[in-house]
Amino acid sequence: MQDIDTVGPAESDQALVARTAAGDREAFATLYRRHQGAIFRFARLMTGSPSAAEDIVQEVFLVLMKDAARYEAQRAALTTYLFGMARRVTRRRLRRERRFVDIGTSRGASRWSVMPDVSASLERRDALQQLRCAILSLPSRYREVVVLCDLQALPYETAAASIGCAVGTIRSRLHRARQLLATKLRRVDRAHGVARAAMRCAV
Amino acid sequence: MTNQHDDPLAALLDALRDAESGDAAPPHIETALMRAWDAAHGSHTPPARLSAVSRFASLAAGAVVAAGLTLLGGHLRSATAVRPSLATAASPTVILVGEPILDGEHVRLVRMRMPAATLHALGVRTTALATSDVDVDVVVGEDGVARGLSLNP
Repeated sequence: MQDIDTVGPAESDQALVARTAAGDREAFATLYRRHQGAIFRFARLMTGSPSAAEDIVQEVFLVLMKDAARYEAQRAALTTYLFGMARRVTRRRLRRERRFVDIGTSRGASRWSVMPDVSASLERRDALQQLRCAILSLPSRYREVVVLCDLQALPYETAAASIGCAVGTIRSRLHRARQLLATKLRRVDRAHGVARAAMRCAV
Repeated sequence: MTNQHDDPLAALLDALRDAESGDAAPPHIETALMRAWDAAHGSHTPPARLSAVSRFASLAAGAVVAAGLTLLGGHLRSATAVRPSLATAASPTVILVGEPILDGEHVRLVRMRMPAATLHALGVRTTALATSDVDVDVVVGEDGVARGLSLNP
């Protein structure tokens, strides 16, 4: 799947970037509306923080605004270019603010719990919450492949180009990331089972 | 890619992708970006073409305003002494330093103390000595950029 939040006429990204470089405000706005959702979701899943994700979206599109003339469509699709930039900005931010990755349990949960998800059942919401926390607790090289390939549904080739590695590396990291996730979720499930049993004993 | 629903993890990843698929950055990010675009490229609104009548009306209105201001200025000059620092730190006047505050925009007020020399360097006149500290209320917009300063004497 390519992208995602298509708004406005289906003009190609390449044409819109060219118009942006020539100073066309509407072209830039269309590019933003088309791609911001994917970048926002990527950044939020990587940082666990909606406000950090907002900053990252802003930074990525500010760079696009300034450097649109430097973008070379023959080297990479705009999606690849934007995800690559979002990845660099996110990693820089995570390095600067280590607290964003140091989650995994309750702190991560409280940060996500502010997000509205009223339509989902409580149990399903809890399961998704645990998955988000498990993803956040992965090392970033595994987290980014899960977010790009499993959650943004990018082809392996696009993910590899965004990260700057071989497709084989993406495959192996994804395999390892899913193993880690499954282990973490099983552990959480077991802990919940123990807690439920303890509650029953206490009652 | 993760459609093997016999695998609980794949099913959960699919569910998370579906749950998040509509999420997007809040509108104020686009507002801030387009404001940055306008600042970098100048105003996006093309200048309206004035008709001959409206041009004449504008010129006439300008002439009336200029004449009025000239008369008013003369009266003020004769009635008051010149006090250059009157509108600076004598009252908590808000000095606009950035973009105007948009309709409905949430702003925050941040109170801080800074050396008067810093304000002088920014071109803000105060009656305070350069070596002393000044209390300043900074009006901060949604994008984190200052919109105005209010000097507390």
